[in-house]
Amino acid sequence: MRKLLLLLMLSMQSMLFAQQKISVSFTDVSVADAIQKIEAASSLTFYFDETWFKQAEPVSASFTNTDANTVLEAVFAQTNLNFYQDGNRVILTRNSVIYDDLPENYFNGKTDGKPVVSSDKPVFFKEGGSSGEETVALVGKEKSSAEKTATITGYVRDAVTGEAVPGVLLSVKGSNLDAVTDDRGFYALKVPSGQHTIEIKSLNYTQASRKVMAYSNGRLDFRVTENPNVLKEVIVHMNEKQNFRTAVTGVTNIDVENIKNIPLVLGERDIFRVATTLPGIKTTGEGSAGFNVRGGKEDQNLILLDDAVLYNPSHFLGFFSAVNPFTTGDVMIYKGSIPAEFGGRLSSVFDITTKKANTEKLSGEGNLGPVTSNLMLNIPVVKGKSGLVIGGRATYSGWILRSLKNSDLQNSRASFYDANLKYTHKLGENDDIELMGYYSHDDFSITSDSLYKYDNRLASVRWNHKFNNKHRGTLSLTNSQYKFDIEYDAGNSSSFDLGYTINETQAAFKFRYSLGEKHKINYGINSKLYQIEPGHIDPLGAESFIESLEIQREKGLESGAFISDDFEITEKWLVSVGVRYSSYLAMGASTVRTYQPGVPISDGSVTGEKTYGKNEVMKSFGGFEPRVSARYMIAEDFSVKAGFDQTYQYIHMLSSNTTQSPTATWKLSDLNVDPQMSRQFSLGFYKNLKDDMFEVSLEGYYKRSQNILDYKVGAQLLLNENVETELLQGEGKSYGVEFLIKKNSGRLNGWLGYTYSRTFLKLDSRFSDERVNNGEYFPSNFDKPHDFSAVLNYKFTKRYSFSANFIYQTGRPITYPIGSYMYNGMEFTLYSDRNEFRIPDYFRLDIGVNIEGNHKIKKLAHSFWNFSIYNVLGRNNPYSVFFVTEAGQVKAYKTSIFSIPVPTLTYNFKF
Amino acid sequence: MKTSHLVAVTSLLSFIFGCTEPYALQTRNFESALVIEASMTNELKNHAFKISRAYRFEDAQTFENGATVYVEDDAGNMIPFSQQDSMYVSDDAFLPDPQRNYRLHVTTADGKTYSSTPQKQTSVNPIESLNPIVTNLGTQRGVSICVNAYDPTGSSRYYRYEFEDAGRFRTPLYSENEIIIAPDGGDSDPHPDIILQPRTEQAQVCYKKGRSKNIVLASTRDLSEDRIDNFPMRFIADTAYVINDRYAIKVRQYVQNLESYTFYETLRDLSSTGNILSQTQPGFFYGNVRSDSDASEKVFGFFEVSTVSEAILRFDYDEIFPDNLPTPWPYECTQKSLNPTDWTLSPKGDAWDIVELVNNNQMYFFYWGEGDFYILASDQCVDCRRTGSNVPPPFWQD
Repeated sequence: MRKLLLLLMLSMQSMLFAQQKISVSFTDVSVADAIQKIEAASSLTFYFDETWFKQAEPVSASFTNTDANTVLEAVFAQTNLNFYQDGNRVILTRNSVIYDDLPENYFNGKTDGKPVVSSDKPVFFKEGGSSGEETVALVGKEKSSAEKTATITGYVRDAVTGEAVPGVLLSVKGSNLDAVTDDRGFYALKVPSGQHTIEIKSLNYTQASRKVMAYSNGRLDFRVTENPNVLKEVIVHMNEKQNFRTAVTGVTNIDVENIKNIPLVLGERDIFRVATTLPGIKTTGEGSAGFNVRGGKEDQNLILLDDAVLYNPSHFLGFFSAVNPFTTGDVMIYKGSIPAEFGGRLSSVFDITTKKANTEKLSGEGNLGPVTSNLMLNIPVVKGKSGLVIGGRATYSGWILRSLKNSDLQNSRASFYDANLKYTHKLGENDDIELMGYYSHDDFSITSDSLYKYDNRLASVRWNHKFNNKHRGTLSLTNSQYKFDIEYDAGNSSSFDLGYTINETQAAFKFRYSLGEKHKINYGINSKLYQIEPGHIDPLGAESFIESLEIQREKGLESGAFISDDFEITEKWLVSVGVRYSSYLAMGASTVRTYQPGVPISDGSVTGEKTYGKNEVMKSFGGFEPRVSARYMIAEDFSVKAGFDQTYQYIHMLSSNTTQSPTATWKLSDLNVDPQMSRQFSLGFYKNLKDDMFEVSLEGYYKRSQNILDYKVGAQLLLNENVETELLQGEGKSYGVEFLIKKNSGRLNGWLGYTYSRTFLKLDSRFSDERVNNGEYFPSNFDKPHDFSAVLNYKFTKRYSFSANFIYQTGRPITYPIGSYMYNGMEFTLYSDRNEFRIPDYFRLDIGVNIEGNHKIKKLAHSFWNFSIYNVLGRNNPYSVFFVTEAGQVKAYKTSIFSIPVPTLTYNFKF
Repeated sequence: MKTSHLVAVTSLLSFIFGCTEPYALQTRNFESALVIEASMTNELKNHAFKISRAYRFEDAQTFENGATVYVEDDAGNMIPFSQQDSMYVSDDAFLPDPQRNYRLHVTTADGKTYSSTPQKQTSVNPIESLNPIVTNLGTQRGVSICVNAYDPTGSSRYYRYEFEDAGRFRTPLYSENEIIIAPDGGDSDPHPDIILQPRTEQAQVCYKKGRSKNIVLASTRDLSEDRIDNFPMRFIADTAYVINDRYAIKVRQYVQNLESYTFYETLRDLSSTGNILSQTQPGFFYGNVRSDSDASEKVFGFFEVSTVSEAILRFDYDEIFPDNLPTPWPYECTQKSLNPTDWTLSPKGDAWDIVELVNNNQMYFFYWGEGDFYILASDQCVDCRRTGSNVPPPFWQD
């Protein structure tokens, strides 16, 4: 039909005006009826397509003996139809005016793709002969006096289900103009009038482009087809342009679907392991839980799963991530320029969103690996309105342990599982509700008498409401609990049960308001209640002599209010100015030791005790956290950004080990522990090359922090009633340069990242036992200056692809023994200054092959096999070097994990 | 306990995926640190301090010679110490004054001076009793040597324990005679002489002596009463041969102050492993002795004035484990019948074997076999001095 229109347009007939006089009258009738009445009252015959009238308003007219032309103009003025009168034939066209002559420069001028904005002449365009498949959509009604800009609005829907598709980026090729669909799939895109190519990009939908002729404000809906086999496709980031367009620096988006192309360990897709191949995100070592983001400690990352905090993001001592990759929709990692809506952690935010259910059709995905199996189901509940995503994962690693010859290990157990669920319900045009639940459990026992367990439990409720097109709000309630438990049951006097629990509940209101075209305002408040049981120990069994001990509970209320504005000053300048005010109240009931001021906090400096009643405020902290960033577009595909942000943290992880371990506990700020504070300056350059095929970025940061927690040598942190006597607080300093080049499309895709970064800590005091390395800055445990990673994927055919990872890192610092000494008849090790030496450099190569089943659309399930080899070079990377005094002799040991190539075969399916 | 389990976890993981292997230690950037062990007690004696230096892994301990050492009290009195072999010993026997503060001063031969913070004697709190209590450590049954002490004033609080112990044992084989290999006495035969003669020293009953090798600490700071209640300061498995017959242990209890307790605690924690995946942060830490001129110089030293008390516990195996069968002799006892007069050169005669076995302390005479053959048996099965001492410790009573 559109073809016909084009032909009509291009058939350049001269117009013949036979002035007919018509008398006709009608009120509020449909356009079709009106045409019939005009036909009846005249000799005119109309040519049209009835579907054009569907959106048209009813028309009214009353004419007596009037020129046909005047009558038609009056009738069609209220519609987006134009007419062309040829004798007694009236040809209706949608949008276009049919001109009977061409502009003078039509055949010479190169108008293709360029909007004609400065001319009062009508907008014309040629159809490119080569792009025969492409059709042109016409938007708005052409007026003889052309408008300079047009706003195209419309919905993006799934071609099959008809469901609105949010988060689709529509961008105008060759310009900076773009728009993203909202939750209802609605978008508004302002363009200069003329011909444009609108590109549509989304994670799960096939990328498409559409030529558009924009005349004036008008509506254009898109139908997008879901990627027929998501398992196969390397999907181009929806935010490849956001990379340099937004004002924030240090933001990373993990393409969850793409993870499958990365070689795996034991068949597990792991979001966090992928994250650590990106610049600025590191772990202390292989198999260690927690991340170090831009020189921050493990406890400085806010890991959110649908708004709820995930305290322990790993399974099995950090070998696997606790987040199910199949149910994960989106992962945003903020390493800097943390938006004002987030607070409470110094270094980063991992904002993980669970997939929203498809409410139209049942689908599922899963895999079978040597250690775990994984299944995700999408179940529509009320068609078009509500749906459920459930995911589950479990180990069956028991057989590995049982099949070992070592009898000690045959009694061992190590297993974990996690399950999550997300229910979405659309209440109406303006409201929808999301419910999320998550539970993970780990247990491992190595001897028959001990059992370690830890659990994460998360729940969140979210109500999204649209006040109007400009103003939206979200209310969310979340609860998170993390606990661990150690049972030692030897049936003797020392059997015990030890436990720790942290629970937090948060209520948050967030609002988004678009003030005019240039301001996007976010504001909100939130409040979070922490309740911690810092540890209890109880005797286990009748034989046990262990005395019950419960460390008194901790309670705190952390609140925040924020406002931020993304202000597009000009096309080139975008600033994001935000501020957050956070406050923290340490609350009773509690009995707290008071210490003599000016001397180290120790058992020796206690002056007394103070008792606080229930909910009585013991101490309050608070502060402003400015978050400012700006972007300047140097060129269309080249931008520079700078940012400054300040953050406070009122909760601290205690672990006297170098890494996060399952027995690490969290402690709240109180009378004796001050909040941590950090300030980061960042600067970045972003460029896209070759039509966005390559993204290149270079970012730098400088960060200072205060009150970073460290411990006195040999600190006892668990079940310590006066843990403050073991703590030190010092200053941190880190800086770095991060380079990333990414290729998003083509047979060969992937990324290369290189980071040079340093991170230091200073623990100074007037007192020698509180001073480390003479009070000078020393490298922190995770200071690894050089970090290079390459993640590459090569597609031989649609069905076969090969992938490889290469990682190189400077060895992490350790405190090295430099000699021995005898004391009290025993030999001890004399250590160097803290972190004066390093373990050998780390490097590793992994490879993988993906083989997909055939691509018949009618197949019941799509599947693929993944075969990967982790550490294919068999490099014996030392994780640590440690020293033990054994029988009066100092002995050194080197530990490595995965010191041999680990092959894995995994079967994945999707239906 | 926690540690051992985490270690087990790690060894499991290592077993599956990786490995833990010994690592060749090499001393890099060695710094020569002065090590001072200076402990005075409430005993009237010539107090002795040890001053040494840290040494490279490949070297042995070196003592610091030629230092000038004295202790000064807050009344300005100086107590001089002089070097005697590898120790610095006070010139006169003295008893510290519990009311005074003492400071240690050391000037090394190269002229550097070091001094401690002032230290005052801790309160006196003698051991009330020692109890042997049968307990299980994991699946291992054994006896715990438990200490009791009580300070009604609540001023002791921090305790450190050392012990010396001895277990009596008897060799399973014995002879009143022993072989002496005499060098060739210039007589006509061209070989040494094998002389069998009565023992000059008792070698059937000996004492296996030991002393504490770990830092054992106890504290009552978290308890309402300053009472050490059956604190297990040493555990001995019921299969340990040292308690097979009769056993005695002398326990020394030091009452420490918080500072010295913390020092020993840190020292103890640092020498244990933590767990392999997530280890304890090691580091250098100072005691209470520092360089007078260079605050950053590494000095590892502690000067303390503590009170000490001793108690002795003695028991027979049967008293503690009346139902246990006797612990078997822990060594293999092989025997050989050899002709002491067969000096044949080729093939080598038995007598040559006797000379070699006895000279190398591999086997000793046990009894006469048939035809004047000597029956020799493994050394430790015949002579208890191979694994112990035939002199009982001073605290021994039968």
